[in-house]
Amino acid sequence: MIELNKDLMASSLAPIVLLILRRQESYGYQIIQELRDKTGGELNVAEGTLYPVLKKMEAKNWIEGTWKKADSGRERRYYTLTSKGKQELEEQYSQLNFINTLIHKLWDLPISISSNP
Amino acid sequence: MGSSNFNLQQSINHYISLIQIQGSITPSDAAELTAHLYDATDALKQQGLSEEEAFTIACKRLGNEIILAEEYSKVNTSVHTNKVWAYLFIGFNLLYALPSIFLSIVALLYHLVYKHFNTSLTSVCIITAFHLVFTAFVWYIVKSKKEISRFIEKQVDQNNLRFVCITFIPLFLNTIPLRYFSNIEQSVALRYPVYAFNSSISEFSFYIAIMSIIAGTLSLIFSINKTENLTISVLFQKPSVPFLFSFGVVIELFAASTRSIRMNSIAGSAITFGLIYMAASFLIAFYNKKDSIRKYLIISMLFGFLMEIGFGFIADTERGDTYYTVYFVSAMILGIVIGSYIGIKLRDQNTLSKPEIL
Repeated sequence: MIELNKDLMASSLAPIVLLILRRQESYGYQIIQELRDKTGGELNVAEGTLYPVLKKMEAKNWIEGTWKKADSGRERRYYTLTSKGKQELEEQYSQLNFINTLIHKLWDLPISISSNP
Repeated sequence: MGSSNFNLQQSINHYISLIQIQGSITPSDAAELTAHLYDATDALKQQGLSEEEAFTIACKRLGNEIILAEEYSKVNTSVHTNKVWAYLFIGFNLLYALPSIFLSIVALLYHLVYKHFNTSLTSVCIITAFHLVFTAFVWYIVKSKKEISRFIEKQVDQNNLRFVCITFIPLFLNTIPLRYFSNIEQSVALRYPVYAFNSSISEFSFYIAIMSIIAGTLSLIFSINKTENLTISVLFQKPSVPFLFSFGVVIELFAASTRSIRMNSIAGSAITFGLIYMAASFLIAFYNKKDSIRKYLIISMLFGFLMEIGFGFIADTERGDTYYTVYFVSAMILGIVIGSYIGIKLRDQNTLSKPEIL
């Protein structure tokens, strides 16, 4: 089970949530289930910490939350991606790709054996 | 194995209240986390777990209340500010509007009792009983300080806007003038126990009720910086100068109010007066160390002493040939001496019977 560094998790969660919401509207528990499915249950994160992230994203107008009654009769807060959120996702996606490529390039470089004078 | 009396709704509410107590989530956040726990418990139950097991795992996965409160506090920066304002509004409404409406009801009661029973024994019994019940109620409120604060805190945590709105109801009700119900002047009707009922018992019980309000309020104020539960010993142990002075003022007012009890001799009145001072000095002596008692007694009783000497002398001069001040001041000093003596003796006995465990 992978336990991500707190800062890395905090910065990664927003684009991941935006990517999940890009496909369809969803609610907190469903988003977490999708994260669990896609990582094969390998990602260890306190589920409750997703909600402050959703709140922060809502405050930035990237997503919009609405209370809806599910078939079970229970109310859930559903989130949808806004146009600003789509734009943000595209920007973050290209930035993350850029960082990813850079990391790969640096990782693949041979380790030089330097001789200390 | 899950216990048969497990209640999911209660358990979820309790868990969410633990997060709410941390003070950084809004009612909407609480509703969202509640929905999450229901969804997670249902999903785990479908995997074959009992309801209790499913709930326990769902809570563990949600995260503990400290972590969640910490994360929420980063996004809900105004929750604390809003809470302070909610307490300000609630405090104003509960401490101003509620007593105001109560005073209107009391004025109406005095008026109706006087109108129907005049100065009869029935009216004296009703009014005295009301004053005594009210006095008991005041001290019950003081005693329930912890429970009342817990209740208010819970309401503010769960739905602060609804609770603040509810506390405004007495303020609006207060705008309805008393004259609408009966042709009376509130300020006049409130003085009926002193001027209208013509009974020293109902008048003295009226003073007891008023003293209870003042003493109860002072107890609540001076226990604010104490960490222990509000008890007599907590209030009187190592008292501050403002507390001692306020206590002295209350005692003097209470002792002076005993003059409303009509007695045949001045000595009887002076003894009753001195008994109040005896009880007051007993409390100070019983709960404090011997070397500090004298200082505490001087600070607390100075106001009463000066008042009795000053106003007593003026009253005696106005009356002409009376020397009542001598009786009252003597009774006061004697009461203080006897009260402190009994206090010290009883405290010493108490200390001997309960040796300190080191």
